[in-house]
Amino acid sequence: MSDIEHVEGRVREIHLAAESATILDAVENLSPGSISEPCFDVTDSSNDVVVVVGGGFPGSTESSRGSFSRTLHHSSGSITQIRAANVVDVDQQTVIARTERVPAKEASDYGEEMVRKVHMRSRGGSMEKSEILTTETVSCVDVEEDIADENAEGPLHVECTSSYLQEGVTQPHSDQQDEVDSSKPLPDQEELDYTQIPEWRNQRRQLFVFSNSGKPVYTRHGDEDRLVTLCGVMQAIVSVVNDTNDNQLWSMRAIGTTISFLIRTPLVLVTVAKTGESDRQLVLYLNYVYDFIISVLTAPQLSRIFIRYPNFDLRRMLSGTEKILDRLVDWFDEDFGFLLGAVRCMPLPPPLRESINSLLTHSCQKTPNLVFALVIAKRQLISVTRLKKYILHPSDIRILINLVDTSDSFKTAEAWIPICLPKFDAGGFLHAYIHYLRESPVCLIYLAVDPSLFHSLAQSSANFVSKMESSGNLDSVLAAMSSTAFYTVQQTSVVELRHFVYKASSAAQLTSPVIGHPYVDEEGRQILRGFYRYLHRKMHCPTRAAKIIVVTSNTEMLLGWVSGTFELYAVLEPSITKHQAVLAIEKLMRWMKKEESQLFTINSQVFS
Amino acid sequence: MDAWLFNERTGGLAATATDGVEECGSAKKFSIAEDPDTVVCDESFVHKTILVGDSGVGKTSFLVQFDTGKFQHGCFAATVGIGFTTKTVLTPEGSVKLQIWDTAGQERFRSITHAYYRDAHALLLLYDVTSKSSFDNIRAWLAEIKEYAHDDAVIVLIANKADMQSSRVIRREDGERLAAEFSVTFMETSAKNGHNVTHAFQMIATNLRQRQYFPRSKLINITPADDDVPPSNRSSCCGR
Repeated sequence: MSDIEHVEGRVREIHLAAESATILDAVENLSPGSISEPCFDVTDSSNDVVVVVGGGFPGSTESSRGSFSRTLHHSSGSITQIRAANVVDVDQQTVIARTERVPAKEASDYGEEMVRKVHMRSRGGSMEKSEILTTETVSCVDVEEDIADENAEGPLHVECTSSYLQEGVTQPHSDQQDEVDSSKPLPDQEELDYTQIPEWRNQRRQLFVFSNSGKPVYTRHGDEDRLVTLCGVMQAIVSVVNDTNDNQLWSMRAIGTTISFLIRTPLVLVTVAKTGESDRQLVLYLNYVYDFIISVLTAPQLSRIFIRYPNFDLRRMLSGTEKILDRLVDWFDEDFGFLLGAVRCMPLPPPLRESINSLLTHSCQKTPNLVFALVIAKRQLISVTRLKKYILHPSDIRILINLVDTSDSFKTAEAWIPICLPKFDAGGFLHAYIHYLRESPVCLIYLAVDPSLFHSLAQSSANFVSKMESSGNLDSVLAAMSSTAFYTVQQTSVVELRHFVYKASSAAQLTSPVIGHPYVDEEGRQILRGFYRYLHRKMHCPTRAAKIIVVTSNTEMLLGWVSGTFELYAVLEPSITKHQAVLAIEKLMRWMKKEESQLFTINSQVFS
Repeated sequence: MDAWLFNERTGGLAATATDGVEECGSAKKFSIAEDPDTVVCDESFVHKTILVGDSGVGKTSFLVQFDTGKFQHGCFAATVGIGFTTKTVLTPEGSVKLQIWDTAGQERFRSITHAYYRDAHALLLLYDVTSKSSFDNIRAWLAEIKEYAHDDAVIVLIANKADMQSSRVIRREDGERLAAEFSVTFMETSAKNGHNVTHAFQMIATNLRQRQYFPRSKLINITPADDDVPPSNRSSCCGR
C-alpha cells in the first residue's frame, strides 16, 4: 500500500507558495485549497494509465504528449486513456478490449494490453512472452481499493478480442493467490514461475538490471535465471520505443504502480514501484544502482566487456557483490537522505569533532598521493578530509559507506580494495585502505590513486590510530556514540513537532532525530518515509517547484521548506493552527542554528 | 639487484651462501654464522603468505579460524579486494611472523591479486571438497602461480570443508594425486571445526624458517630489502 496516496486520501488542505520573505508571510498569504479541488499533481493520482515516452528527462515530457490518444471502454463507463508522445502507432482493433466486473485493476489491465501490443509488434506475438508480461503488469494493485481492504480483491474477469489476453489474464488470478504475506521468503521450487507467485508480485519495489541483449544482470527479488523471459520482454519494450527516432522510454504508469526505465547502454535498469514516488525519484534510485555497478567495474571496463562480447553474462563479473547491492537498495528505502543527496553525519561535541578533523588532516598531509580520507561509524560520517581541488560527492560516500559496512571481512583485517567512485571519476579505480580502529565500529578509510600505497597508508593509519587512542578521542567517540549520537525530537523542546529531517545544503549533510511515537513500528516508519517522499516530490516537481508546502490531514500536519541554504521536512501534530506551526518551525530553526556545529561537520577539511 | 639475482641463481648454491649475505640488504635481517648450529634469525622479519582459490572455498573462514579460533556460522560474504592480517606462529625453532593476505576469489580481482603473487613467500591454495569446479580450477590456479609467483615460494594445496563428509565430491586421493603431480604439499582441513588449520600455518612457518638458513631462500628474502622501509617499521605498520 502506498503511503503517499494514503496521505492524499486524508488531506483537507494544501497550500503552495512560491516566493515569500518569511515562512509566516508565505503561509498567511495563501489562499486555502478545498476538499473538492486539492492542488494535486493530477496525473500522479488519477486513474490514467500513462506511458511516458520522450527524449528528455521524464518531467519534461508531460507537456509534449499528444499525437496518440486512444479511448478504451469498460463496463463502468468511465474512460481511461493511454497517452504517449508521437510514437507507438497501435492498431486500434487489437488494443480495444472489453472487460466485465473489473474491480480495482482495470487500468492496470489496459496498461498491460498496451504493453502487450507493443510487444506483439516487436516480436510478431510470441505467446509465451506475452503471458509472462501479463502476469507482471496485472500485479499492479489499485491503491485506493487497497486502503479499504488489502485482501478483498475479487476475481478478475477479462473478455477480450485477443486470445492471448484471455489465456494470459484470467489464469493467474485466483482468490487464493491474492492472500498475500510479502514478508515470507519466496518459495524455491524450480518449476514455479515467479510471475505466478503473489509474494513476488506484491513486493513494493522490484528492480531489474539487464544488458542490451536482454540478459539479466541483477534482480532484487528472485533468482535472475528464472526471470530471463521477463527481462527479454522488457528489453523488447525498451528497444521498440528506442527504435523510433529520438525517443527513449522513461516510465509507464498504472494505478498505484510506476514502471521506471533507465537506459544506460550497455545496461537497462527497470524498477516497478508501488511506493508513490515520482519519475524523478525513481530515476534517482536507478542511478544509484547504476553507480554501484560502475563502482565495481568502472565505466570503460563495462563498455569494453559488452563491445567485445555483446551477450556477456555480467553476473560473472559482479559475483560476490549481490549482497552489497541488496543492502544498498534496501538502504535507499530506509533512508530519506538518498533522495536529498545528503549524507548522515554523526552528532558529536564540537571540540571532539575539531580534534578528530585536525588529526585526520594532519595524518593526510604527511602521506603523499592521498586524495580523500574519511572516518565513519554505523553508516554515519564522523569526519572527512580531501585533497585541495577535489570534491567527494555524497552519492560516492553512500556507495563507499555501504560497501564498507556490508562486507564483514573488513572488520577482521586491514583491507586494500579497488573501488571506482562514479561521481568522482567513472573512468578508473581509486584504491581504498580500510581499517576498523581497535575493532570498534569506527572505521578509517583512505582513498588513493596509486595501487602500491598500501604500506605507507598502513603506516599513516597506525599513526592516526595511536594518536586517536592516546588523546582519548577514540574513547570519547565511542562514548558519544552510545549517548549523544542519537537524539530525540523532545530535545529540541518544540512540543508540536513529531519528527523532522533537516539538510544543510552547503555541506550536503542531513540530520534527523530518532523516530518516536507514533511511527516507532515498521509500518509507522514506512508511513513516515512516505510523507517525506511525498513532500520531496511536491517540492522538487520540475513544473511546479515550491518553496514551502503545508499539508494538513486528520492525523498529522506536514511541512516542507526549501531555501538556498537548507531543506526542512517536518511532521507536526495535526491539531495546531498554521500560525502555531510556523512558530514551532521557527523555534526549531533557532535550535538548529545553535546545535549546528554538533550535528554537522560544516567546515570543509582540506589538505594539500 | 636483478642482475645480481640472476647470477646468484645460475652461479650455484654453495658459492653464494656467504657472498649474498655480505652484499645484499637482507644481511640486516639475519646473519649466517660459520657454524649452522648458532644461526640467528631475525624474528621481526615478515613472511608474506597469500591465500588463493575460487570464490566460496572458505579462504576467509580458514584465516579467521586461524586468527581467532572461531568459525562464523551463517551466510557467506564475499571478500572484497585483499585483507591483511599479521600473525606470529610459534615453531620449535622460534617464532615466525606471517603477514597473511586474504584475497578475493572473484574473477574481477585476478589482475589485482596477481600483483601480490610476486612478493609472496608462501601460497595456500584452497579448494572445497564439496565443489568439483573449485577442484577442477586448481590446475588453472597452479598455472597462474607458476607464472606470477616466485619459483621458491612454498605452495600448499588445501582441501577445505573436510568436515562435510555427506556432500563431499572430491576424494582425498584425488587431491593427493594432484598435489604429487605438481609436487606441492597437500593437506585436508576444516575451517569449521579447526581441523589442521593451525597445523597448515605452522608447517608453512617451519618451512619458511628452515629456508632462511639455506642460500636458496635468500632469493626470496632479498625482495623486501628493495623497499626503503626498514624492517622494523615494516612489521609494525602491519601489526595490529
